[in-house]
Formats: sequence, C-alpha cells, structure tokens
Amino acid sequence: MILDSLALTSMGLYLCLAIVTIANMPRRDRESGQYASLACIVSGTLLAYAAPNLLVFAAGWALTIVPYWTWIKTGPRVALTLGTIVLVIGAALTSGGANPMIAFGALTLAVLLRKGIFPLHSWVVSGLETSPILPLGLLLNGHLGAYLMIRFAIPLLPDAASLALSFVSVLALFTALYAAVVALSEKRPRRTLGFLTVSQASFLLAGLENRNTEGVTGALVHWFVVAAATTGSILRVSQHRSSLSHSRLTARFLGID
Amino acid sequence: MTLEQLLLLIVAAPGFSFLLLGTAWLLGIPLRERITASFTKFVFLLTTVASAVLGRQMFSSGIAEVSLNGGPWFQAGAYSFQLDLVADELSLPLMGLTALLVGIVGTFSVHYMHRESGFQRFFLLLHLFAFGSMLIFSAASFDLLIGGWELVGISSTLLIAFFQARREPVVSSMHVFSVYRIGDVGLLLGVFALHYMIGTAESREIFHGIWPLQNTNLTVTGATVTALLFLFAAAAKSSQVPFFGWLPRAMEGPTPSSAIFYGSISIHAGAYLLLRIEPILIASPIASAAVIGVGLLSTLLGTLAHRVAADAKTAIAYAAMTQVGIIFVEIGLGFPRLALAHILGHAVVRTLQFLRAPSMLHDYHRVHAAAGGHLGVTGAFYNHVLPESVRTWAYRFALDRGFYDAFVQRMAANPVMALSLWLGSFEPGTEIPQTMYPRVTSADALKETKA
Repeated sequence: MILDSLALTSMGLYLCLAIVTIANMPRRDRESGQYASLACIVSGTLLAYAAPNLLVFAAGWALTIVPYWTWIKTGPRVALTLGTIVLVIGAALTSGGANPMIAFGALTLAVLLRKGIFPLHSWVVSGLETSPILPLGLLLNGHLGAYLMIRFAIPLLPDAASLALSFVSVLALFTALYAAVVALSEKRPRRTLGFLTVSQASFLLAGLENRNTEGVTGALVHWFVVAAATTGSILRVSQHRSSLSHSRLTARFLGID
Repeated sequence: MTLEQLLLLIVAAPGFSFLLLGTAWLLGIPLRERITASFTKFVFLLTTVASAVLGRQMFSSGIAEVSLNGGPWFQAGAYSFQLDLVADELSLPLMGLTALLVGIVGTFSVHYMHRESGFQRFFLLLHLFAFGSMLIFSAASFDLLIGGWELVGISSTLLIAFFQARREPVVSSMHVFSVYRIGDVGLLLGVFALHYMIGTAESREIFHGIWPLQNTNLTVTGATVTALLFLFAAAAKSSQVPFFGWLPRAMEGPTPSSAIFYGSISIHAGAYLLLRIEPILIASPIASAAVIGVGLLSTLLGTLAHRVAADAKTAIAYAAMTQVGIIFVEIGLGFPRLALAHILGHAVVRTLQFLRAPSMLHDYHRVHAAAGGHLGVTGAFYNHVLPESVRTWAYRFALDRGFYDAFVQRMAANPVMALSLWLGSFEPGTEIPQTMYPRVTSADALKETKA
C-alpha cells in the first residue's frame, strides 16, 4: 500500500464525504442494499487511493462498480463496466511494456468514460436521474479518473502524456462549458445536478495539462472543493426529493430554479 | 497591544464570531436573541474601538502604514499564498466605517428582526459579511482580496434570499449571484494578468510608495488591460453600467441588510478596488477614461431611475448608485482622497436613509409639519425647459431603467438559452419545455399528481 500525502489527503476527504452522506441519508433510503452499496463503493475507492500499482488500482476501481451488478438494478451499469474493462486493458498494456501511446490511450479512454467527458457524459446525467443518487454521488466524487491520471498515467507514461494531455485538456474544457450551458435549460433537478457534476468534474483534468506543481495542486484543490460541494448538493436534492417526492419539476424545489 | 495585534483583532474578530455562531447553529444549539444581540454588540464595539485606537496611534506617531505578515497559507512550486494584512490611509477608514456601521445595523436589527424565524441566521451572515469586508479592505495582496470579495458576495446573496419560503427572493438572489459571478471573472482575470506580467499579486510588489502617492512599473498596455479587468469587476460589485440591473432585485432582503450592503459597504467595494489600483489607472489614460465614462453613464441612469421608482428602498438604492457613479468619476479624474471622503460620507447617509425607510411616511409628515405646510414639488424647472416629447421619452426611459433588462434579455439571455435548448435537444432524456420559462400551474400539478 502507498500512504503518502496525496493518498492520505484523498482518503481523509473521501471518508469525511462518506460519513456526511451516510449521516444525512433520508430515512426511506436506509436499507441493507443501500448500505452494502455504499460500503462497496467506499472500500473500493479507498483501496484505489492506496494502490501501489495499476493492477491493485484496477481492482479497487472494479470493486466500486460491484453494486451496479448486485443491489442496484437500475443505472449506468454498461458505461461503468466498459470503463473498467478498458482500464484493465490499459493496465495490462502498461505493465506488459506495450506501445506507450496505445497504453496511455486506453487509460485515457477509461478516464473519459469514468468521469463522463464529452461525448461520453450522458450516463452520468441519466444515472443521477434514474438510479439511487447517493451511491452514484459517492462513486463520482471519488474522482478515480483524475487520481488515475495523477498517480499512474502521467508518471508511468510521461512521453505519451506530454503529447496526449493537450487533447484531453481541450476536451475537458469543452465538456465543462458544454455541460454548464445545457444545464441552463434543464428543468429537472437531478439532471441539472448531473450536468453540473460533469461540468465541474471535467474541469479537474484541465489543470493536469501543465504537469507542473502548480497545475497539479490547482487540480487537487479543485477536486476537493468540487467533491465537497457536489456531495452537499446531492444530499440537499436527495432530502428535498424525500420531502417533495411527488414532483419532478425544479419549480417545486422551494423556488430554486 | 502592538499595532499589528490591533490590526489582526479588527480583521479576525468578526471571523471568529462567525465561527462561534456558526458552530452553535450547526450543532443545533438555540441561542437566545438576547445572547446573540449582546455578542454582536460586543464584537463590533470592540472592533470599532480597536480601529479608533489604531488610527489614533498611527496618526500621532506619523506611521503611514501598518503591515502584518501572516506568513504563507500554502505553497505550490513557485507560487505562495501570503496571508498579509495592511492598514493605511485608504484601508483603515473603511475598516473603521465597516465596524461602526455593522455595529449600528446589528443593534437596529435586534429589534427589527425580533422573533423572526431566521434571527440567528441573519446575524451569522452579518458577521460573515463583516469578516469578508474587513478582508477586502485589509488584504495586502489581490489573492487574499478575492477571498473577502467572495465572502461578501455569498453573504449578500444569502441575505437577499433570507425569506426563502417565498419564490421571488430566491430567484432575485440567484440573479444577483449570477451577476456577481460574471463580475468575478474580471477580478480573477485581472489578478491572473498581474501574476503573468509581474509574477505576483502582492500590493507592495506592484505599487511603490505610500497610498495615494504610489506608482507602478506596469507598462501602459499592461496597466490598461489590468485596470479594465478590475473595472469590469468593480462595476458588477458597485452596480454600475453595464451591471446595474440587479440592484432593485437585491431589495428583496431585510431592510437592515439592504442598508449595510447596498447603502454603505458592499456597493462601495468596487470603488475601493479602483482606489487601491489608482497608480495603475494613472498609468493608463484609456482605463481612466473608461472609469469616468462608466461613472457618468451610471450617474445619469441612476438619477433618472431613482426619480420614478415606486418604492422607497429601490429609490434609495438608485440614488446610491448615482453617488457611486460620481465617486467613480472622481477616481477616474485622479482625486482619490476626495473619493474616499465621498465614500465615507455617502455610506453614513445611505445607512441612515435605509434604516429609516420603513418609517418614511412618518418622517415625511413630520418634516411637513415642522415646515408649517406642504413643501413644493421638485422638478418644476425641467417642466418649463424641456419639451413634452422629451419629458415623456425620459420618463419612459427612466421607468424601464434604460431598457436595460429588455436589452440584456434580448441580446444575452435569449441567445444563450436558445443555444442551451438546442444543445439539450441532442441529449437523451431531455424534455423540451413548451416555453422558455415554464411555470408550474395548478393544472400541471393536477396532471402530475394523476401521473
């Protein structure tokens, strides 16, 4: 296990988010399947943070999607599974000494799928609308995609990263703008939240392009802020949903539209 | 107590009290109104006295500037975020004014907000606002100033939405928040420009000398770009052209918060920013001209709009906007001390006017009674001088607030919303609304309930 400042800070923040989420979970969501899902996602994310190599990281990543094959019957099962398969392929290529560009491409594709970068973003929006919101919120706020880039993809494949990160950065910035604009006309709170999550989460990747201390620090700070703010928003929407469960319209949410 | 400790006390006291009240609120500890009121009075009496003592010591000892080096908050590579504070001829009067006026407004609010369900929340936000204002005025770097700027913005919008059970205050709050965020882009880009051109946003690195007799090493082009970006941010914060449409919406909050935000402190934050960058403005004739132009236009629009406003608070707010426009002109013309004196005087008068606004009719009758009869109407001179068509057009122009809302709706909001709807039409699962701003009617609710 690696327990350096990056891993410990990420784990500390994530544990706080998990505790706050569980403590504020609406009463009607408190059932065994929901708790098991949250436990699976939290343990998988923590394992990924402390992973010493790509294979252990991939195991943690895969553990986070187990709930979507067991307890949670609806939701973004296909996109998450596809992302995991691509990650495993990327990890195998990286470990096997394959062409760095191909290996980095596979890892990048896994990141794009996991974070919901345009044009692979729709599963985040529909997932937050149709599947249980708290487990998916915790899964997204782990930001394992950005962690994969910072911890493994860039250090292991620096030459490929220097060539490909500009493209990823531009795509991430476009996603941030695109999702924010689309969210303006969205009237359903959970979909609005989905677009905002995509917009903010994709912005993280833009800071990594410089690959210097300032860029990575900025990305990390943004990560922590976004994770805390998004978790808070998800909890508020979840609680409002419990009290106003008959309505899907934003205008019902105490005028917050 | 040293001068540096006094400075720290003035800035930190509201922040510390915010933390205390916030912790009690989060833990669900119900504080009695009397305790909250006494605590607030004590904190702002303390900061007011500390400001007075600091000012007296500086004046009697001939000290032009007191600096407090708080060390780095964090470092990343070559970048370091310094927590340095400064009290000089510009910042100290505004810090003292903030402490005094927030204290007065707090004392007034004890009675005004008596038995309101959000009593504790109101005072919590008042302390947060005071802390943000102190940070703005005392920040020795523009990086730290951004922190205070955002705290003032968020406390302002949360207080506009104070009556959160009603829809209008929440919508107005979101509108004001959006305008603030657009303005913040200017501030952020201005600070980025300083980092790019000079490598720092520390005031002592950018400016040389003691305010207001400072100069800067920025080139004319660099000064113009930076000053225009800061002007953009200042205009949004001080409700100047082209951002003055949010001001009437901000009146949805409780009257004491309107007094402290839009009468005295917050509305002058933009003017303070321009005063702080006065050397950069002097280095750029284009930026100085832009400041004067913005100020003049805002003055014209504000004075017209306030004459036809239907409610007292909106009328006072537009009058405040007019005066801030004149302050901008003074800054653009290079009279920083005059502008500072104008800010101090104007803030006090507007606070009094806002706090008396709920009793305006009573005051009106009292003045008339004291005068021994009805006073004459104003504006008769213009009725004689201007032709009727011009008067009618000016009236419509003022009533529609310079057609600003319609212009922004047509030129900015509608195209963005159209783009959003068009992009959204490609998204799976998106429901295209029948109108751009659908409202929930009883029929919708009935249909939804049946579904």
